[in-house]
Amino acid sequence: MTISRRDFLKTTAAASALAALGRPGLAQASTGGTRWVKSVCRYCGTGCGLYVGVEGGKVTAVRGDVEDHNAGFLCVKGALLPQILGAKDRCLHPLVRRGDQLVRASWEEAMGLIASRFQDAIQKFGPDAVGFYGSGQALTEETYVANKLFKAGYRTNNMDGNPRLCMASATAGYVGTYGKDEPMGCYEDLDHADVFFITGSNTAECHPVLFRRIVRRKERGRDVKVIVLDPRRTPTSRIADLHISFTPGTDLAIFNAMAHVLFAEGLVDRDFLRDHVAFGEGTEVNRALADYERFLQAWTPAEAARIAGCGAEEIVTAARWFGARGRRATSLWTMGLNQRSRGTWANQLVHNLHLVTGKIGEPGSTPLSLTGQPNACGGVRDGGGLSHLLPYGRLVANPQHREQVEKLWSVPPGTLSPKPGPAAVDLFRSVEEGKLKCLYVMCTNPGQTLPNVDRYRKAMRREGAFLVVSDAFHPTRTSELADVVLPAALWAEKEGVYGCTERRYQLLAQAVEPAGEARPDFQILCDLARRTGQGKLIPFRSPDEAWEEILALCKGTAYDFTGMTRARLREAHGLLWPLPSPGHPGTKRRYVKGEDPLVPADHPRRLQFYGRPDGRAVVWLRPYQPPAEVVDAEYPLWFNTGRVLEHWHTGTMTRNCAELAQSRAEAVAEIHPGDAQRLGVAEGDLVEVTSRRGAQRFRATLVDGQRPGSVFTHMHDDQRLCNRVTVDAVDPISKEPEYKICAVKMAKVSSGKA
Amino acid sequence: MIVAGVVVETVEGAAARVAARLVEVPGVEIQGGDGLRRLAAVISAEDAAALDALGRKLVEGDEEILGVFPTYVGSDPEP
Repeated sequence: MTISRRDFLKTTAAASALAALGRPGLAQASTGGTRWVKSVCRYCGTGCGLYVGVEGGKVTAVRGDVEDHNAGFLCVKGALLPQILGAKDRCLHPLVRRGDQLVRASWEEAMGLIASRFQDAIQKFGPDAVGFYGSGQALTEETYVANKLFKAGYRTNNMDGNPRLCMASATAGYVGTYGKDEPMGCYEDLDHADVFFITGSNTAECHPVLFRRIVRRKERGRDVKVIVLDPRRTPTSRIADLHISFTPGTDLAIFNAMAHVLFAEGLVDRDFLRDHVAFGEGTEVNRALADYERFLQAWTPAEAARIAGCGAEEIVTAARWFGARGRRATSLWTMGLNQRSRGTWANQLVHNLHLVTGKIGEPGSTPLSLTGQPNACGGVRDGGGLSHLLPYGRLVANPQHREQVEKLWSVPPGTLSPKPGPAAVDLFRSVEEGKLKCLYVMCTNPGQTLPNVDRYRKAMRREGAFLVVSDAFHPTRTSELADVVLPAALWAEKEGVYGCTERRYQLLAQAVEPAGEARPDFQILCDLARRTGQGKLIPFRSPDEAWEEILALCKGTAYDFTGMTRARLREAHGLLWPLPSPGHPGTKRRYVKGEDPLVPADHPRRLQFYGRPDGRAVVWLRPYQPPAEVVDAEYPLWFNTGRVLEHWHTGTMTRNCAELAQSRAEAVAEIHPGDAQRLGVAEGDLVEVTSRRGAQRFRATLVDGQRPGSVFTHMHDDQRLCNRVTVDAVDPISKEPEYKICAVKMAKVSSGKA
Repeated sequence: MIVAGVVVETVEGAAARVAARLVEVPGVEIQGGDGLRRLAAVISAEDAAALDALGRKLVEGDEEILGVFPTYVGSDPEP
């Protein structure tokens, strides 16, 4: 019997859906002519495992990996991944600038030009005349090569990336509290939690596969409560038992008030505090429990409610649910906390809630920061691809760490600069000031994503600045500014490792050849190294060889994953570090005695926070401070930006997908009907949103769930740049910009009926 | 032509009602469910926007649907 291709597709589709329901036997697909290659989704930081279907040398299908954490589920973006590979604006050959035009060039010409410009700049102005801006979407091996090339080869720490824009505050929160970056918990905790505290995260749209897991837990658990803390009522709120809407930026007061209630109602774990916790204020760990209790006295629910514009009883209820004895609590957050001028503090105040209740380090109790990009954790945070970092928890400013890395990289002592380089926004300010002459941008789109973007778009086109952009697509809002555009291989066209939210590392195998003349970024960077005299430092012929060196860098650190050989990664459906030997199963929960390989089973305490010298996590005394910019008579509305389900980041991928391009690709200004009436704005009207930095026009849409006095728009539209409006103020600790909050005014431009 | 396997997640107790509504949608074939709140379905359409139509219009327009999760998407060059 033969089946048509249509029947085959239907059978496969049915089989995959039924398998996801745990009923795989009900429909079986023919294998057909499809070759299935194990991979990972290209989009958010959830890291869903999937298989890439290849026929005739082209990617024709994907299906979720039922053996991975996502149990076969994908979101709509992941399911439509095949379409991005053949998109009409794939960049297929190098381009170099001739006047106002970017014209086709050979690889030889493009790479020769880059090498000569970078070498000239270093020779004339010193190492800090060049820089690199990378991505949480690049493969680990790609970021590793760039990091080594710039920091050890060119001897500059002008090496930062877009994780600074999304995860830096989460990192600073973890490091400040536990001494080491990255969550201690895992996705499996979602299956055990009795209380979900979701704050600053629209999980339903931004991490839909994890949201599904929360929904499942709510269905199966006993009286599972979901608390959502968000100024907007989002799809995530649909499963909330308690949704607290508040004035943007005031959640710090709410977190402290929740801690106040926990103490006032005897819901704290004083044994845990005695054994596992220290207290700090400012930058010093120099306070005691009594100081913290005194600090909290002022943070009554009534006071927080006054500041936050929410109900005091809501805060009390949230605290009672969170702190209830015998109930396990998991916190989830993302950009609503991170993209703030007090993002580090906001993160730390959430950690405080877990530490004072002892709800940490056991199944279902964990503070779990959700990641925005597929390899921000593995490639950049862990791999040290930021201006103040060296690989695997080491710091540029630490002489011992520099010495370790110099030895491992076989470079002379003193090669690595001791001075941290500029963080993302400051990196582009260096371009603006003319200090940074040559910038290499890989796999990211700062011409659309930087806050106050027009300022930095001008800098990138500044006379004397030389901008290289390596991207799979052209034009983007950054490649249009470039002096050289390099066509990069995309996702299934190359091989490497991604590390997602829960310390899970996974290998993406190459499934097809790159489109046109595109090359993997790994190969491009190795070529640049050879052309600039760094071939000995960067001798790799393949990502496998770089991975061997990466294993040597992580060995003996708190990140140790030396058991993740390439062969094991190819077989496994994700591995969680620490994983220090080939036979080790990986670590679901860090710091837990007997589970984390760095904490022996006979350790006297349940948890050992070994990132800190005293083994204790820190509860920080952090008062409420307002955002960098607040509303006033001239700019009376709060402006907030974010994602929607169907699109991702700057839309270079999702807006290239026919189905997704039809859905919410245009950024609109979401306002409350009451505000609309006051402003004389109707559904579909063209409005102008103006801040102190710039203005952008959007169609208005009236949304009941929007908090009165505020405006939301998504970040994915390359023609309506929300970042013309956003503020480039940054968190003083993490240096992450405050995308989530600024003050604007809105005026109607024309009627939607016009 | 695009063919997708999806799981439709509903609020508790609503799976049967949602299934009844989905069978009225052209190009949607219900394949089964878990008996509680999830349905397995196959969507096929000449215009691949059908997948988005379910994901967006149903989630926004049907309070009993919590999400539509594709598990597979394949394309057929034939219209």
